[in-house]
Amino acid sequence: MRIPKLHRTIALLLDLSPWGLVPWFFFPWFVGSLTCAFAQDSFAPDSAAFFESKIRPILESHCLECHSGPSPKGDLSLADQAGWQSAGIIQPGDPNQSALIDAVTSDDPESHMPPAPKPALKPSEIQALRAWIAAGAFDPRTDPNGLDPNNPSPSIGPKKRNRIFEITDSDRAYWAFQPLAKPEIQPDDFHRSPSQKIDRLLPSNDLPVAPPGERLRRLYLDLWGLPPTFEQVQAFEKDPSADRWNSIVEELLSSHHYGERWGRYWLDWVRFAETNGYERDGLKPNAWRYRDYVIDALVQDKPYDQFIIEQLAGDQWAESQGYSPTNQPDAWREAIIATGFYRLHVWDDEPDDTLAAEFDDADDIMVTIGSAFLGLTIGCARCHDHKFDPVSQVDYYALLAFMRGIDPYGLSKTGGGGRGTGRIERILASPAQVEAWDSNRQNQIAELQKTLDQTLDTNSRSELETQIKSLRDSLPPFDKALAVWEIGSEPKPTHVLHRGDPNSPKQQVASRTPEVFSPFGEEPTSALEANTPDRLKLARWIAHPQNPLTARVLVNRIWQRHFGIGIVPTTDDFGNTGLPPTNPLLLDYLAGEFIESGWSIKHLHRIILSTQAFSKSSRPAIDPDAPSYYQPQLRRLDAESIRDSILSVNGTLNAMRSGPSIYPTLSQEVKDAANPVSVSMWLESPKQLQNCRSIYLIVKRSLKVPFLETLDFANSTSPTAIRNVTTTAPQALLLLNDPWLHEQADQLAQRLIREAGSEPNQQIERLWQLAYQRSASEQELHWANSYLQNNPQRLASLCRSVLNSNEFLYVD
Amino acid sequence: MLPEDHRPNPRLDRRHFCTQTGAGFGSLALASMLQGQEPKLPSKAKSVIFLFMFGGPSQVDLFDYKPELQKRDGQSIQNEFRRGSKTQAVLQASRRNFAQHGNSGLWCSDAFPNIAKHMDKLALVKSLTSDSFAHGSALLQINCGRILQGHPSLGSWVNYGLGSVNQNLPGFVVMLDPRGGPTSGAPNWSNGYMPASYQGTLMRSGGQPILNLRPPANIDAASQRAEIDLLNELNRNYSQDRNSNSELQARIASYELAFQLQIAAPEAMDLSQETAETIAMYGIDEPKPDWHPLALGPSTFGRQCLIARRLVERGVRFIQIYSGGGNAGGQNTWDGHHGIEENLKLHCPEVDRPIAALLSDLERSGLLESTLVVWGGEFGRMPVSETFNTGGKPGGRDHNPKGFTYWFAGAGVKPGTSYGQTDELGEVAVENPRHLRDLHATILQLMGLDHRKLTYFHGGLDEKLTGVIDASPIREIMI
Repeated sequence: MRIPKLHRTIALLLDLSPWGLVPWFFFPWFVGSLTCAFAQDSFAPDSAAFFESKIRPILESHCLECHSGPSPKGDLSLADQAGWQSAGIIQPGDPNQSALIDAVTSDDPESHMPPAPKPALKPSEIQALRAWIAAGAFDPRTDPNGLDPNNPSPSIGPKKRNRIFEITDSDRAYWAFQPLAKPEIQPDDFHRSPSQKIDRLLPSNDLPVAPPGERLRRLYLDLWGLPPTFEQVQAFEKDPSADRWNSIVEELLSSHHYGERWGRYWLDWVRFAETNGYERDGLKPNAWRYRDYVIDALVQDKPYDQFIIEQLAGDQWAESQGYSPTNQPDAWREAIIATGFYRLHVWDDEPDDTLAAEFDDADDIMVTIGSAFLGLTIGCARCHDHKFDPVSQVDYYALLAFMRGIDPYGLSKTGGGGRGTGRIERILASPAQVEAWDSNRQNQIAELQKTLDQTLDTNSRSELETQIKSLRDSLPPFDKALAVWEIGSEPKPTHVLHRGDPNSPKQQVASRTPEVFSPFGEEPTSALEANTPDRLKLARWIAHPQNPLTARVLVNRIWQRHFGIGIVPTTDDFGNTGLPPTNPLLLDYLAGEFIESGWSIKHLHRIILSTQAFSKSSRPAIDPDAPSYYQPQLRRLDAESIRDSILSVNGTLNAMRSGPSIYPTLSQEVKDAANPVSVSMWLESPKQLQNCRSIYLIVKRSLKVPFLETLDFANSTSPTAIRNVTTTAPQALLLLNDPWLHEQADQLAQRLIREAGSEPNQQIERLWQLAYQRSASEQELHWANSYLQNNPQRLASLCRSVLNSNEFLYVD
Repeated sequence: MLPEDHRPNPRLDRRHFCTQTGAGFGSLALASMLQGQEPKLPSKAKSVIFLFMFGGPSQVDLFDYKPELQKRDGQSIQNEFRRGSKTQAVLQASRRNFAQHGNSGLWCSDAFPNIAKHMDKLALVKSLTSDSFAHGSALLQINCGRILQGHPSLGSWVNYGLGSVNQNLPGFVVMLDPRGGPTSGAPNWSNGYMPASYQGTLMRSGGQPILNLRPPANIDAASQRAEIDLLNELNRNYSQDRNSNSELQARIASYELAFQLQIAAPEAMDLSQETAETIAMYGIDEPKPDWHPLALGPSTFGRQCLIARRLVERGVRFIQIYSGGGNAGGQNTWDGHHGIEENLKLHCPEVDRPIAALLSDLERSGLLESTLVVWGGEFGRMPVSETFNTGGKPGGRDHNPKGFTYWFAGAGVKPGTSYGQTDELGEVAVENPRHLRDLHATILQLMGLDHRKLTYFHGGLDEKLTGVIDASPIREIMI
């Protein structure tokens, strides 16, 4: 390709255009029809997915044969962004000024590309190129640590490449399936702490460090979801040293409030809810124990690999360790409760097709495992091979086969097969303990019966009879947990289902992990003793230090929560429809450090929170157009933090730390609009219990707590990786007018009077201290004073304004 | 269809982030991005009024006249009353009298004497099918496209695709029967995995129209205004060195909108601006009947229909009104297990005059040309008598998702049309059977949206309202 000639051609084309210098394709209708033409696959033309599904195949089949490699033709390489950039043949945003488009559309056989006799590009391909360039010509092939540009890309799944699903080396070479890379050791790394190493891996910037007060508020809201007190801020401002910072981090991490904040994230990721959804929306008994398990696991810093194993196979793991209700009862109990993981899905008690419903439920679990633990959209392969990732339909069913021993959820109302036996709970005691209790009870009954037989007096007889009856009716005094049961010693056979239809089974498959993963360590599915139960095998494979996804996915989620943006922005999708890591070395360094620390999540917090990066100001933005993954972001508090902060600031947050969920009072309007079945199950909790942290509030699928739902609570039916943040008028109405908020503002006003007396200036100062953890400025004192107008009635109203203000609702 | 990657993406600029943070009800930023850009397909419909007969209205007693059923009353047949479960059952002819109406000669029974006068406006689809015999999953399917919970509803999709016109009012309004919310509750108007701004907003025709619209009684509008003014002062102060953040600005705007909504919503629902003739036409002034404790008469639904017209005038995209509410299985909904005659006698008069009035009213104001009216329920009912719910007495009818009727009227609809047939007994769709997903495709098409192109990326998939199985709009009922 001779560039100078092309440039001449462009000039010529423009001159000859009957529309003068206004190119005809600038007219909006044309842009509209373009958008339309590509909407079939509906990827935005500036997305990675669009590049992978549309552009890369064009380049690979028409261009790269000549325009790649060490000495590309015409000195033009199209194998990466740098190639076409240096040749200047694409003007991002402007297809009409892009020589590439002229080349592929030219009438001149001399300059037409590809040169004859190679076939010309199809009109649809030219349209795709135009759309791609118009949208900025996003080209992901820029990462020097990425794939060899000369090696055709894997990042289009086998399904799209070829009709026959076949995994190639290039699929295996996809970044997320690679072993963790170790960052190059720098000469002075020996002296660097992990936090300093993280900073070294980040682009340098000259952002100012945030003031101590701002940093402390950020830290508290980040780790606890509650603001610090004014006094804590003052103390830190006096001594904002690194040592002091680290000891505060330590203090915060050791509190149950840390578990209550970060546990909720996990609950979002596994779409935790305490009811089944659908018509009756029945309660999942003891689901709250799973919630407490998650909180406790975080507070204890349970190693993440163990956390995974317990949820996926706690029962089988405990058995393999010889744990039981009598041997290591606490460890056994936790492991059993953790398996409640399998019982959290929505469940239709009256399905039309019970067999289909069984597989819908299983798919729900598969999707959640894929999303929460692996960052893989496994569910896409239920009906056909995954369209973008190297996961075949056979892989899907082979993974499902690990779980076919599970007794499915509950009995169906209509029957018809394909459902469970109703065992969704386990008694948290040994059979011997239950038996001992029962035989003791039987003995008591027998003795009473003996006495009864010898008693004639009617009154005494009836008393004895009552005693006997109550003993007969008594339930075992042991805790129960929502948990998994196996159907028996043999799991059900698993077949590949044609188009996902349980009535069209194809070949039977055995349990195995997806083919694209190269075996790591001891081959996890065969080298383990043959008698390792299936789910435990799966759990060990996911929790294996060499699993390339597990640690990366988790560290990325932790980073995302601290900074607002993940290193991989699509935290639940590490596949081809997700986005590549912006900083692969950092991701791998964190993952490696995480595994070496013994999968300690708290270690991750410590090293991230002590970085320079975390101490930086959120403003000015490094890039005014897009948030940066290494700059703290100005963020609205999530629903729980808003509610909990209000309770904390007015001093009424209660000390609840565990136990059955709390049902807050619902307004009559909410009750009227709900289905009566839902309302009848809403057993309102005593008022004094209602001021608990939000994680302890009931999560009912047909009737979410309105306060939380309005403020973008998790969807709770499918995994929520990152909640949407919306800003809506109903939120404003809620925070202005909701009776609950008024009650809290009244409490806050009373607290002000209690602590600051009746002098308005002091009340205002105390309000600012409590809500914003700082003193009020002259200006603010003036505003607030003129608002109060010496009218004590207005104090609560002032409190409401403050609780509604952005400074209260946002954190820098 | 939306060239919009809504996932968090550092490459995308803040404009994209704003799609999640529109200050109003709908997504402000999305709407403004679409401004001046007409929907992709030519369309006439700008709004939808979906009249939802919760419980499942009986097609063989209303629109689907079956002479053969009338002849064979009392005969025994094998009836599939749940998928795969058959039982011996007795055919039950309709006790209603059917007649053909208007120039089109479409059939309507005497249960709907007023709607009958409008048959020339309607396009009936008598051959719909769906997948579930149970209320919960059937409701989810008609509202959200799947029998599984967790997907966005039709109203969310329409607003996602078209944006809001009136930023002071929600784009998706749901009005419930005073007897209670439908089975499965809020998931029926859920935004699913879309941002909360696409969620349906419940509007009440009495009391506070929108939850938390008004402050508690002790606070008047002036004090609330003062409170918001102070709040604005605090917020402007906070924004000073954060002025590049559009989310903060959106939040400030949201309070102004909330305040305006306190005027806009009651104004939209204020029927005192309507003439006495209009009020009478909708049956709003009819007293509550006393022959049955559950009877409401036309007053409630009439008021809701009139409010719907007013909302359409104000640019609300999607309005759904439920007739029937509370637990399914009782006569408080269209779920006529316990006697179809009593059920019809309760519910038909509740909606008949209001719906007829709505059609007349929309027609005379010219709004019918840009408004799509849809009528139907979560399924139809069986031609056989159900006895196990009536203590052995005949007279009930059980659920039937295998063949049921919907009708459309207004924008883009071919008036006076009937499409599809059930078998001679009115049980199973046999001629041109169409699945509910085709009904969804039809509604979207009439709104100018292509169901194949209206997608939302979630969980690795480009999700569609109509799902993965191919769907097509019912072109035979469109102009």
